[in-house]
Amino acid sequence: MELLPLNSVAEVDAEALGVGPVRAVFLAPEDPSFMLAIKLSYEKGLVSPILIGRKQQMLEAAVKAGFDISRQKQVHLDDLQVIANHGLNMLFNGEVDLVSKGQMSTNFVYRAVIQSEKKNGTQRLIAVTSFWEIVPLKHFVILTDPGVNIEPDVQAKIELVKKAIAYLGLFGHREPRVLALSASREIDRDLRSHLDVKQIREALAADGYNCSVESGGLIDIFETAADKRANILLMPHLVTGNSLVKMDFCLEVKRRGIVMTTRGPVLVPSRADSSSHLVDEISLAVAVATRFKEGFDENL
Amino acid sequence: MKTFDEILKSAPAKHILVAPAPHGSVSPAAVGGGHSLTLLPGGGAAVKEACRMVREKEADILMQGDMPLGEFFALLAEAGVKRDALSFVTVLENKKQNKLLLLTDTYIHNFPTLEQKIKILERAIAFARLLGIETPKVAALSAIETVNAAIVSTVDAAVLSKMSQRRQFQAMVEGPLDIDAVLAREAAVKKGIESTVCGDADIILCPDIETATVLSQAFTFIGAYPAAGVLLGAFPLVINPRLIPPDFKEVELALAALRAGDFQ
Repeated sequence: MELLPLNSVAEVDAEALGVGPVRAVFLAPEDPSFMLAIKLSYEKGLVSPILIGRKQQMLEAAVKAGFDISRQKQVHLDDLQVIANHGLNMLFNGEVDLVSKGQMSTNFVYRAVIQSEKKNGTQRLIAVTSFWEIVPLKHFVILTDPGVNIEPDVQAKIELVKKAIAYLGLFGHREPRVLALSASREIDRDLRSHLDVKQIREALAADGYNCSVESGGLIDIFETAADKRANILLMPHLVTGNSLVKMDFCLEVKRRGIVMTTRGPVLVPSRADSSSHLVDEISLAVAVATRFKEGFDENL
Repeated sequence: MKTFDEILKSAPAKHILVAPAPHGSVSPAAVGGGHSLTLLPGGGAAVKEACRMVREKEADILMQGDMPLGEFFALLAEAGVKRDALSFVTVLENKKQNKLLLLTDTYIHNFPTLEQKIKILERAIAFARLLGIETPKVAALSAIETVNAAIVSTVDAAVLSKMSQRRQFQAMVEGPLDIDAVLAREAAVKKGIESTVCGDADIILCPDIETATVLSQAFTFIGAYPAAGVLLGAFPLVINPRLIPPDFKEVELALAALRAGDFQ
């Protein structure tokens, strides 16, 4: 099915409001600001929440957030890994459409994702795929991977790009243009981030992908004509990606991030994210979860 | 100093050599600051002669002229300016906080070792003090705020932070910090980090060139922060990397002029 292109956060939000509520499971929602985000998402009609976590901690967070959770579905579990596993099982069993991490280390979620994919026979590279709208340019771009892979080798980068292309497709974009961010510069051209590009380009071409792959800097986005600008940014490694993606609050950029599994989106918000930002992230996940059902791509 | 205007007002007039001389004339007025200007024609020989002149105090600043930067650096090396001894700072005018923000090393080292990071940091601290920041607040950047042996930059940042606690720097170094803890105090507090560096850093020590370049370009091109570059570790040199837009060349010369006073 052909998916209509989404080009901005506003368009994503509008679509999410139109398709919600979707079934969403929240793992250890034990912080008042996180609980407030669930409340706001529920009231906006984005999600039908299922709360998994420690009963007393969830209740206390809900009271502080002014959210009556007595009528929301709850699963009371104590162990954080068990909570994560339970939530991911629900996603992989088709009981929910999306999962969001609450107050637990991301490692619990990643372990649960790996375990679920393994059981499902669909072991894939796990990666965070972030969405940026660069406001001054009115430009939409996918960033990969700012969250999981510390030092991806060239094979991992090829997989990351394939995932990003599939993700881009979910947003209705069929002309991927990859920019591998690289500090290759006048006094040193031979950085791995630059040298890997040839192999990535060849591998994608051999697999039938029709996309451009170049290396360069953020400056190149600004110096390229609007219709030729990169729509996928491949990070050289984790520290660079993590640092760039979270600069949104001091730049004119709108950020949303997601981990795509073969059964739907998983949100791994930062502990520093505000309630309103969490609602925005949930909004993206709702739109993606719905499109995912309509336009499944095996590379996701 | 908190703004580029203050830098321009504070910098003394100096004698600048441009080598190799660019095609067409360059007038002193074009570089501003009341500096005197000498153009040295002659390709590579001009660069080497300029190095000699600045070293022997016949001039104060060498400015890259009409030559690709790679070639220019090769000539500097032949003239005894070793790349490993250098580091580069992107100086940003942070108008929201009314202060300067220094990013380093944004050009020279690819993946500096801890030993190299110490030298990069010491140079940046000395430079910050030259700008009037008596005890710079330094954020040692990584991807996370906890030490993870698989991420070398977290380990290095923790070591630098400990060195700072033991007063091995004339600065307050905090790390490892991820970027939102560096830039926003509230984000740091949410992560359980209490440090006056968070949300108020004067210097961001970047873990490697990939991260440094991306941050410098993000601030400059997406954030539209005014930016100037300064090369540290040798006599005052002004270079023209693509990383730094040419809009504030006058500020770069002023920064080099401030260093020239210090250097002598």
